Amino acid sequence: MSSPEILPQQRRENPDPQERTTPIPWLVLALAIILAAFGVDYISHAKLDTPASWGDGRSHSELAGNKPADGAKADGAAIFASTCAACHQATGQGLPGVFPPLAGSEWVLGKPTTAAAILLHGINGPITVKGQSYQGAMPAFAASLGDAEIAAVLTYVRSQWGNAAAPLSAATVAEVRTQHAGRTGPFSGGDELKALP
Amino acid sequence: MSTLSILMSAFVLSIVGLGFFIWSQRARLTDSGPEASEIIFAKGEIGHPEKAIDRTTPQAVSPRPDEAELLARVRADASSAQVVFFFYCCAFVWLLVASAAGLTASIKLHSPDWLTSEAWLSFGRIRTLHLNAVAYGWAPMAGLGTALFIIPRLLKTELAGARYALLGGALWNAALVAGLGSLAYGVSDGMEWLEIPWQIDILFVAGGALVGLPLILTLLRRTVAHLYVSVWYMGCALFWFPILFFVANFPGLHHGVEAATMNWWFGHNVLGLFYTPLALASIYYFLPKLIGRPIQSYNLSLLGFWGLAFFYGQVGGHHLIGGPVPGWLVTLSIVQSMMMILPVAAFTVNQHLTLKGHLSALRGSPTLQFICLGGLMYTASSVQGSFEALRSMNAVTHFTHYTVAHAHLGLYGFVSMVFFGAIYFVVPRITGREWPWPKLVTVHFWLAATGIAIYFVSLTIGGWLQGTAMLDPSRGFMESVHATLPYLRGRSVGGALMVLGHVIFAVHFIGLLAGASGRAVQPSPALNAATGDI
Amino acid sequence: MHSETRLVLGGLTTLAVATAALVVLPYLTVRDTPPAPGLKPYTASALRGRTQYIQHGCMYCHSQQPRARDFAPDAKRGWGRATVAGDYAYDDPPLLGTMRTGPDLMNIGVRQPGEQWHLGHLFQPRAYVPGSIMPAYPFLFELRDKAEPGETVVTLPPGFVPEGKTVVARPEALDLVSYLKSLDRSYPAIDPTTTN
Repeated sequence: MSSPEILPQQRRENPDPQERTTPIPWLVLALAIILAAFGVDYISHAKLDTPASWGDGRSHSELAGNKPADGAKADGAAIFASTCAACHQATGQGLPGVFPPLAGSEWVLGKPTTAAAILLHGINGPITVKGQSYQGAMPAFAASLGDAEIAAVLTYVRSQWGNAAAPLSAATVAEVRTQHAGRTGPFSGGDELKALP
Repeated sequence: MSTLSILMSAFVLSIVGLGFFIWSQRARLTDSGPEASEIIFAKGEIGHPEKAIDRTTPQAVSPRPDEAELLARVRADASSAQVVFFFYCCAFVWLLVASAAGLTASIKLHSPDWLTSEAWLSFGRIRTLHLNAVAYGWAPMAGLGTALFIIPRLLKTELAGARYALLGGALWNAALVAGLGSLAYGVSDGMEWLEIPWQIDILFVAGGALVGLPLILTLLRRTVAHLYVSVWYMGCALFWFPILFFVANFPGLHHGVEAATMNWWFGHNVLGLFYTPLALASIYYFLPKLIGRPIQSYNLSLLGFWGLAFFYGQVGGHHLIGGPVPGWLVTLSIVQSMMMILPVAAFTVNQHLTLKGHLSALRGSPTLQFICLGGLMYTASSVQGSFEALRSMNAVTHFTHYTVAHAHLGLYGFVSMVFFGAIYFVVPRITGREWPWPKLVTVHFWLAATGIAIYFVSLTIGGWLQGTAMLDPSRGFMESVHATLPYLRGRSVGGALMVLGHVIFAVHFIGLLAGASGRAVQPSPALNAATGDI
Repeated sequence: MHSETRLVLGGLTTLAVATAALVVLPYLTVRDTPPAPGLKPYTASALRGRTQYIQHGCMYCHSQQPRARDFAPDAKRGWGRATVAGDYAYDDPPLLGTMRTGPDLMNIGVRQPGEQWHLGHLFQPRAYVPGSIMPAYPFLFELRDKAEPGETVVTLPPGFVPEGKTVVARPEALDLVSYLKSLDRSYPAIDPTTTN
């Protein structure tokens, strides 16, 4: 076997590295003991008494349902922020031509039972709000929101952005829910809503 | 028995077992007396060169030990030069592709209406292209190229079957082209780090096996008795990665939340058991090489290596803290994340002892600057990662840009920096040419270092503000978005500097290949007093 | 170290321990958790939409895993209760996500049930959410002079659509919205009457 050419780069470099057997400094050993002790301590404080399929750190009460328990007060502002504000905006002004305003809206400030009916079943059709016509596409919340929650959010909406209408009770929403119990689709627009009792 | 007591006993037993395993290797070293230690102390400034020659050189051709060592090295380089060159060329291409994709994705986050007309340019895809070009292009090509260069040298053996590696590299890159193409087109397996469709993954497996084969053959034909620490890291990485990749991509095997735990077992281990060992092996090789001093403690090397091998594999669950995965798993991952401080400390102390008193070597050698900065960033990002895994920290930083900053500190500040340094050292030895414009290396270094500093600081602050805003339910979600905007812009500035550095790096490489000669090639004392290298 | 066998066997053992903990044990214990009692399977359209969600990389900015109550106030933001293994029984792969550049979407179908909102928001997020940094997805829509019967027209505030043009949703957009609307984990994760 012929020896390959030795490049100047190879000739000028240091020999390949070697190792000395300096013992492990005691500080590093101390660190090992501290870390192992931390591990034992951390594990001993872990809450691992729930089933593995629940996931990390869940409690029984939070998994048993997210509807507010009996007696707990529904937070209208929070429901508005998470469910309504995307379309009607945090200012209650809606978006021109797309989503109608809630501030000063005759539907919000009018009969509370009609407002509750809209939230329960939604709208699919033309509706006029503050003199502007919209192609209504309001989703129904009968399934996802309880009576207390609908009452809370309506009460909130009726008292914000200069609105000053009377609060609603969960009982009123429950009545409206019973009244329209047979309904399967959304209201067909402003005309049908106006005809409601 | 309760989950807690099972976990506790598994933890304690495994720590004791690991300690015993490390101790046994240390004990064997000291017990077997002169035979073992003389190889460790082979030649050079310490040890007993006369005895070592017979053992470590195939034919006693040389009159001087250094000459024999040099000849073995030259033979090793000649056997690997072609394949290393191919891997490095691919690494350059993927580095540029990944840089372009990364910067585009970064700009899109603060200018969302830029380049929206094409689906493949949308954030979700260009970000994925960036990740995959780094994860399966730049990092493995540079890392495997460096491994193919270092291993024959350390084993004092010619690389056996280099053409398999060449074929494997070609297959791997073909797979990556196909993979990135399908991601751009919108075909994805849907799990982070595992997006490339499994059908294409088969090509990666075949290519990877062909790359690994020569390294195993070389390992078996080695002419040295003692395996240097770099060989441990590189050798194991080459076994670890195929297993990770194969198990993770096996179609139909994973489902539901188990797929999520597997996802982060893979995601974190690609980092911890593939890129990290390849880069650490490079530091263990180049740092003592460039300053001309042996690694100070074999025992710390042992602790660092086996600690990493054991603890790093189990930390992946910290990506799912507070998630729908078993609580014991998350707890285990948090504890092992903290335990990672131990191997990191062992590595850091070892390098510190080696470098102590020789810091002046840094001044003349940008290569060493890259390597040392990389080593420091390994310590920094690992310790940061350990604390980030604690629930109290994680509650703020999870789901925020803080994590992104951390990931880049690791994969760029540490891994890429080390590979930059390695490439600057290796290329002149496999091409026989010098870098034509040494000043550009310094420019690259400062662009990369400044770039990652701006990147890291911006996103760390931005991510923290984002996290604290998100933990306060009285603040709307959009507040957490607005809080990050200035820092996302800062990230683009840092990223642009990094990209500029890479372009200069690539231009310099092309200049070298084109035979440009900007300066005298003779080693000058103004460069590195120890080696004459840049 | 002298023995490559010891090196490789040691390395494989450490990886085996990690794999046992993070892959094998979850495989044996939670992989086949049955669907949570209130969880509905996806419709064909929602499944196609899920593929769109993956294709466009929505999971890189949106998580699908509200965190536990004593960890983060995700429930107070209206993102829903913490999720459990059974919530992902039909998810292949699960899209838990790692970032919240945008909000969690595990219950987006509950808090945002309106199709119109989703469509317009996909076409141009800033039309509905000022200051949003979500990308626009105009290639999921077509600009026409006039919509054909049966097509879904997207209404946008003035200024977001060229004069005289109508935005029509392509089937991909409708599928994606159908998937988003199906994201609903508002049912109880466990039977409230049981204890543990």
